Amino acid sequence: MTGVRVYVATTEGPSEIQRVAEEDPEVRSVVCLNGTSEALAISAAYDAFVRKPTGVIERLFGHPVYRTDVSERISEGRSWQLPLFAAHALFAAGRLAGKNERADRAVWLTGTVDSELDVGRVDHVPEKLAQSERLFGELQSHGIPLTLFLPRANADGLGPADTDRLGPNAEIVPLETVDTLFDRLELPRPARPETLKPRPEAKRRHPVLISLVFLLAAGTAAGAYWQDEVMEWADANFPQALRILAGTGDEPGEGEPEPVKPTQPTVAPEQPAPPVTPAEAPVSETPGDPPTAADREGDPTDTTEPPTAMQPEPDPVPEPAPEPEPELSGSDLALTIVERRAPGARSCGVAEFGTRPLTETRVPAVGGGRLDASSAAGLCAVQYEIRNGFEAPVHVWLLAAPVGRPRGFGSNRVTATSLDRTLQPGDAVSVQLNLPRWSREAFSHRVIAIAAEKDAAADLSWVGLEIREIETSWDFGRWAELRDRIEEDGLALLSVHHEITP
Amino acid sequence: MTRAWKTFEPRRKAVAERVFDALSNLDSLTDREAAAETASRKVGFAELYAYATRSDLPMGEKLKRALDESETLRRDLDALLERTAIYHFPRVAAASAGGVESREGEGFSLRIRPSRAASGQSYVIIEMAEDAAEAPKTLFVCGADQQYGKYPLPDAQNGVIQLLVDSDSALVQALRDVHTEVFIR
Repeated sequence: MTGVRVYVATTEGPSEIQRVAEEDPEVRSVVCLNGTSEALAISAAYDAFVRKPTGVIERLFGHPVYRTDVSERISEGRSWQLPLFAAHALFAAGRLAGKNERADRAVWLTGTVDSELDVGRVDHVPEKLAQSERLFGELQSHGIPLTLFLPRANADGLGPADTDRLGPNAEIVPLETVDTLFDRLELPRPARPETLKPRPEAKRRHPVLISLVFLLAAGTAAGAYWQDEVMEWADANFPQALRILAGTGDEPGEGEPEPVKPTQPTVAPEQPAPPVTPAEAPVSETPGDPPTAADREGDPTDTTEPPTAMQPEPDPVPEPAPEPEPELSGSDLALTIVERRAPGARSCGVAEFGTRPLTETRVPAVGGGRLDASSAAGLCAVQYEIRNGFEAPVHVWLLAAPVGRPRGFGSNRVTATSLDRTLQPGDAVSVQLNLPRWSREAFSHRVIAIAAEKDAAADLSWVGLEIREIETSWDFGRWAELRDRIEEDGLALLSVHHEITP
Repeated sequence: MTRAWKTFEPRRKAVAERVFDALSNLDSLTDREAAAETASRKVGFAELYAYATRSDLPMGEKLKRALDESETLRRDLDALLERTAIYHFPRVAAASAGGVESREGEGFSLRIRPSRAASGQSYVIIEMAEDAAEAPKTLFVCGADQQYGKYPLPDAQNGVIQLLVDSDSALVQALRDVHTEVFIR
């Protein structure tokens, strides 16, 4: 017998399977690029395709972990399953032509393989053929016979434009199962996987209930992620911080935190139910009996109890929803930055003489919450103003502080400033930071406003103590603790960085 | 001798004002030159934070140079990594002479397995407990020489993250070194 070269058909061109090798059972199967340590993205799906109980390769050929090398990248999808299956079958028979080894036959494949070893249709076969035209010509010129194995559904859909790409040395073999593949490659057919007990019909669950549970789970996960990350992220992404914390950040943008990432999709051929031994067999199989938990979808971990009532209970009459109470949130705190500059090209010291007032530029941090950096040129002080946009009086605690270690010495040192006031609707309060006269580098201020409804206003002095400690110790890890406590206490929070650049 | 400002005549006030203004502007100009010299070497907290928290951000030359030069910056980065890490494998106890092949921690384990199929390549396997809150996305190593390495991690599969790397790579060497601290985030 001679070696057979296997090509994976892809829309980017054929990828040669260079090697299949058994790997340490302690690791996961991988598909690598051209003998390097670069594991391709399909590796996780390949591992599931190989390893029992989901995979078919271990069931047929005995070993649980392999490494396969290919000449070109293979992206997502499952059409690589049939060619890799063929490669494993040839490898088991000692007939896979490796890299730089002589081959006197070539096979080109695309298709999926399920747990019953049926071959399923795939997309983009005409494109894959077109991208392999050069390979077909090379094989033709070398006199190497070529067999194209395709799912029958795909083979039946090919037209003359597709088949004309093939030379006279090529033939197309449509597949419904892998049996034909074994026959045409004259491979010994391994024992088929044991016949499995058909799975009981999956219990139909109420789609709305499933959706709600899913949404609840997703929401919980996203919420947990949000709570854990938002303050840390805000530190690094101060321009967006206001928008998000103000509750207007619906559209994520560049540099924003990644959403909770779903796990990498894996191949999920139908998982066979475990063989049922007499001792495990259900005692009663009366048609009217409700299935046990283990019967449902073959999942022994599914311990949910089946519904006991055979007749659905009538839906309760929904009660009218109560009028929603307005809740104080960060978006009710409107922040405005007031830049105070020396007039003309004069220095800030001039203003200290009191003869020329500083000019003021008001920069509202609203409308998407962009907080642009201020230029330090001529900037003498920055005032941070918070206005109560809530419909009721609120108690506001406002802090502005330089970020990082204290800058400057003596009277040139910028120190944090804060206040604690009750604001009527529409009223504003502000704190001011005077800038160091001799700034050598960019620096930034942190502005934090915490508000509680007047009636709920409690002693907020602990917030000030915590924040000062964080600022002075530069201990940003404590933000999470502080934020949690603020949220637990039901307070509205607004936090933003303001950068001042030379 | 000092005189109260309010006793100055308007003309004197104007002169004093111009002198003060000129001196202040001179200060600003000289400061700006000095700032320009040091700006290229300065790394801000935001840059340090981004490196520690963004899995897609490699270490730039500027940050590397700054870390090489500044012990304070290294200390800050260590503190950041420790604060933001999901898990921190400290240095291995000194009694463990030679290279280490695995590190065990609460809820996490990390081990190196040489590839059977490809000599010269090794697997780095991180296993997480079932109740791990979130899967890490980045692996940081900090060696005794204060050199930092950052490696993006693939998605976990059933609680296992696997990296395939060359056995003589900086990552494997660092992980085998008992003096290396490992952070996963």
